[in-house]
Amino acid sequence: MRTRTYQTSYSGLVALSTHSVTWVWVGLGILVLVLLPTLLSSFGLNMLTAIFVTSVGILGLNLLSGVAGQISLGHAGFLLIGAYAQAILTTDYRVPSLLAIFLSGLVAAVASLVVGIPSLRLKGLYLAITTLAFTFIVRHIVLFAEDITRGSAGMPLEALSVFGFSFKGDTRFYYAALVMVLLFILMTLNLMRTRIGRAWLALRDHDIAARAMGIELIRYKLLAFMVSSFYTGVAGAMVALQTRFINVDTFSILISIEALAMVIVGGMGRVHGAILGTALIIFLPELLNISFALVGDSFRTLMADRIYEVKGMMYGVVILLFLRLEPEGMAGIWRKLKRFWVQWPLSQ
Amino acid sequence: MSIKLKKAFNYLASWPALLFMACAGMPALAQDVGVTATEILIGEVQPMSGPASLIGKAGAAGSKLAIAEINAGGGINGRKLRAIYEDDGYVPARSVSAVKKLIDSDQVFGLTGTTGSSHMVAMLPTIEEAKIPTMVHMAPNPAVVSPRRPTVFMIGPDYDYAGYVPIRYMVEKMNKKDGKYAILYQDDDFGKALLAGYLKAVKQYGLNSVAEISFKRGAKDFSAEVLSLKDKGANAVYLGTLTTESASIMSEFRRLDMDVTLGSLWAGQLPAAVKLAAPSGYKYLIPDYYASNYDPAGQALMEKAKKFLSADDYANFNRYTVSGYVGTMVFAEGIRRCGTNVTRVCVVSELNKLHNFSTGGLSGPVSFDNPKAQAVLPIKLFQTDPESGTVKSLTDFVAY
Amino acid sequence: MNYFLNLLMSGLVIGTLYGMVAMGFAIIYRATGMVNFAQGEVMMLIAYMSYTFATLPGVTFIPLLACVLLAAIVLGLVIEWAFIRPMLGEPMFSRVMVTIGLAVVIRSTVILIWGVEPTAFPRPFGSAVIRFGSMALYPGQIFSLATLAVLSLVMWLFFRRSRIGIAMRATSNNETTALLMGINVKRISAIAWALSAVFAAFSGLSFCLMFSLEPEISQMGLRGFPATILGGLDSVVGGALGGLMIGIAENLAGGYLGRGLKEIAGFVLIIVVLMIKPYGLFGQREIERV
Repeated sequence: MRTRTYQTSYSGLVALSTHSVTWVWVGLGILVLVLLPTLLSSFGLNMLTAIFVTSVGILGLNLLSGVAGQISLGHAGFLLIGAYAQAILTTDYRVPSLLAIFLSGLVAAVASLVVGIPSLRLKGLYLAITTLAFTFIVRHIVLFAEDITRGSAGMPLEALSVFGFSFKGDTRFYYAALVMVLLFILMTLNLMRTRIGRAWLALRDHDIAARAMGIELIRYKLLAFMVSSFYTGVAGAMVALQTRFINVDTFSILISIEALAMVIVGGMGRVHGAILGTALIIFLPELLNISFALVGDSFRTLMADRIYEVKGMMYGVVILLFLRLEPEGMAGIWRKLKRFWVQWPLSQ
Repeated sequence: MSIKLKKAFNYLASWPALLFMACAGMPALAQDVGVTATEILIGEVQPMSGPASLIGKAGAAGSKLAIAEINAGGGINGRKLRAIYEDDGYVPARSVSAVKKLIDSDQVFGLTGTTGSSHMVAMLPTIEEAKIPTMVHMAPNPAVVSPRRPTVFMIGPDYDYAGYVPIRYMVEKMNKKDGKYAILYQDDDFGKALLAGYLKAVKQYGLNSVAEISFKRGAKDFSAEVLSLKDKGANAVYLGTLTTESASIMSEFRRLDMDVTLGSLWAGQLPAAVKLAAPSGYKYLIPDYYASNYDPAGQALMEKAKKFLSADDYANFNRYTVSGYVGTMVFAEGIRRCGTNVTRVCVVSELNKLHNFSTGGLSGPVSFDNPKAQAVLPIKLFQTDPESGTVKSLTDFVAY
Repeated sequence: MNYFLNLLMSGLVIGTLYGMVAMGFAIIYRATGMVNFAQGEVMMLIAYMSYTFATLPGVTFIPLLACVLLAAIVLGLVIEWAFIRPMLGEPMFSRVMVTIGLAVVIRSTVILIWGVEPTAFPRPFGSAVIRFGSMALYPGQIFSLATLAVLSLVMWLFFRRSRIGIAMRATSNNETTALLMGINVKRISAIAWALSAVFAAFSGLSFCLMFSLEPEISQMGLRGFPATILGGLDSVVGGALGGLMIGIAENLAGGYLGRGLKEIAGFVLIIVVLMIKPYGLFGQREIERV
């Protein structure tokens, strides 16, 4: 039975996986995802694409909050920056859309310095509040700089196209999103196993001790901000490409809160946690629809219009339940499931 | 917490993956999409939760009323009408996902509810691609019909009429040509359209506009803006605000003892808005292209609402309910004119020919036979009566 | 000059709302070291409950106030006991997320029970304008001003003179040490939440008396943040003063600058303050220097 904790070499410790069976499973998983469009309706594809696109941003937020321990409510602000950067670059400057995606990420990363540098002196909740203020100010700037952003009218976007091949249409964009999320997952896993990732973990757990060990906190804090914002900027660009229209309403402060919920529900600091958390939160309204349908028509007529508030409430209830009962989030549940499977029939 | 509870929770939380597979299944086939021998399925995307839920719920209620009335009369040429309502929480990304669900998963025949203006713009690519007949009535945004989309029809005049009509009335009928005019408008394209209408009137009559103040959506406190208006001596003010802001502004006017003639937009007609503004005692002007709750046609519709709608929906009856009702009724007329052979192509062509369709006094006649397929409805002017908390009509439906 | 004075007065009036919300944030931060993101929603819930009390037949102001305060205290204690106390010992992130989850649940529940339409709140003092000199104020606005003044004075005395106030500071500094020193941490936490609910009650009532009863009340929570930061997260009286300052700044910006700069005047102010005096104008905690 594999324990994965006994390694005899350094390369074993940093390897993504020391057992080839893992790669077989990963390959199978990717194959399933590639074949899914043949089974799913457009609506299902749309939801799955949304999960992929949002995951990229949540991976970033997870790096910032879960791995480096910096609480940020600025997620919506960086999404907005990424989305508008994509729109403006492709529409006004005729930059090819694929390149524009990465440039949008860079723009967001640079913008994060505006938040990151002053907040070096702050910690915890003061940082959360500064990032919150940042979101409001970004929104205001977008509305103010009408000449560039078209203000409150919003901007339409052309579909993603790479070297002339257009990704218009749900199925094609699904593949683009799939490639993007796999790319960023790989990037994250790699980051986590380098010294940068370990420095972030030290920063989160005990920053004073980390400093004593020679880790330059300012540098790694800023790096965490920038990398996380790059991810989020790219995610914003992808959202813009998916819905093909953006305005300031697309990313409200509630998005920042939803993003934090995804990180928490998924399990802070874990890559698969980020993906699972995103999937659960996005899928939650549909889940509720199904459960209400199962309960029967009488319940629906009893609730009538109130059903929408009940759904809204469920979302908060799910967050509370996870925080209370499963602080490790979906990643924790996954871990327990795996352990159950591995230890069966002797599992508790 | 007990181990058992934790285990139960873990067990529950692993179901979503399986259920996801189950729900994203294959679509079913039908005659023309959404049409069976006994039923026609239509869809609506409305903001049922979130900041605009007051409007979304009313619109959906109006649609439900129309459907109930039609079905009670035997349906349309033997087929009953049924609708699915999706909530988008007033977020454009969710509007797109909701409309995709309606079109692809639920396979609706047509759309009669299209949420807010920027949300409709976001949904346009999907709607155009699916070539699905769509009736826009809740938020008539000019961008939706320019350029004209073949299957999209819009009921309602452009927003700038809301800014133009009250000012024109103040000048022509209330003898306020020499007044000092001002406007307070929301800082988005809705507000800017109102500003455009206001400026058109200012230019046309050569009025003295002393202030044009913008404010951000969601502002609660207008004391600074009102003080600014007092400072400039404004006495004829157009309020481009929605429900509670108007009341708040009027109470500031009263506090500063300002004698102003006020005009607002159609949302000022909402019973909640009128009641809230009543203590300040101003009789403000309201333009609208639908009848009010106190007009004979509106009262007749409320009687039907009492019969067919739930108590909550009846209590919240307002002009958006009327809008939802009219939107669905007009769409149903398009279906009716196709007889038993109901296809999307047929309904679109019938709606294109629609001329002077009567809504029984709820609005002016509806015609889509123009290049934009936009029924630019004539506008009625109302004035609030703070003492009774009601609204009385000053003019009939007039085309401007 | 009159224009300026009028702007100042309006700024003070709206500032009292921000101030009371800020005081609610501050008391919880002071006692437990966490930010309660559900403050706006608690305010909303108490406001709606007050509406239900106020529309009962034959209710006058004093009994209404008493009922509302009692309900607020009970609500604060219940929330602390049911949601916050079980999370003692968990990382700060999780504890704060609980308040966020709670905010969502409370907001939906309120709309579920009371509906979404804005309603006029009964005016126990009447709605006649009261004039003095060239100024005029509504009774609701005077109530708000008076309440803030009284609450600030009471809090100032509370923290200066009472043992509980000092105990609170100890608890927020280091829970474990405070426990070792014999301070009943649970009781401090409960008192802080009950007090915070009382502030929420007063701010909710003031909002309803000045404006109307509507779901947007919950957004006052977020709008009160700049005031808390300006005054210092752990200074209750500082929060009150911060609120007044933000209110004045907003109104002056709106009156003289216009163009919608009013709304972000507050947020810009906090960023500036945080860079010069990170712990706010009246705060006393140290912010970690890294």
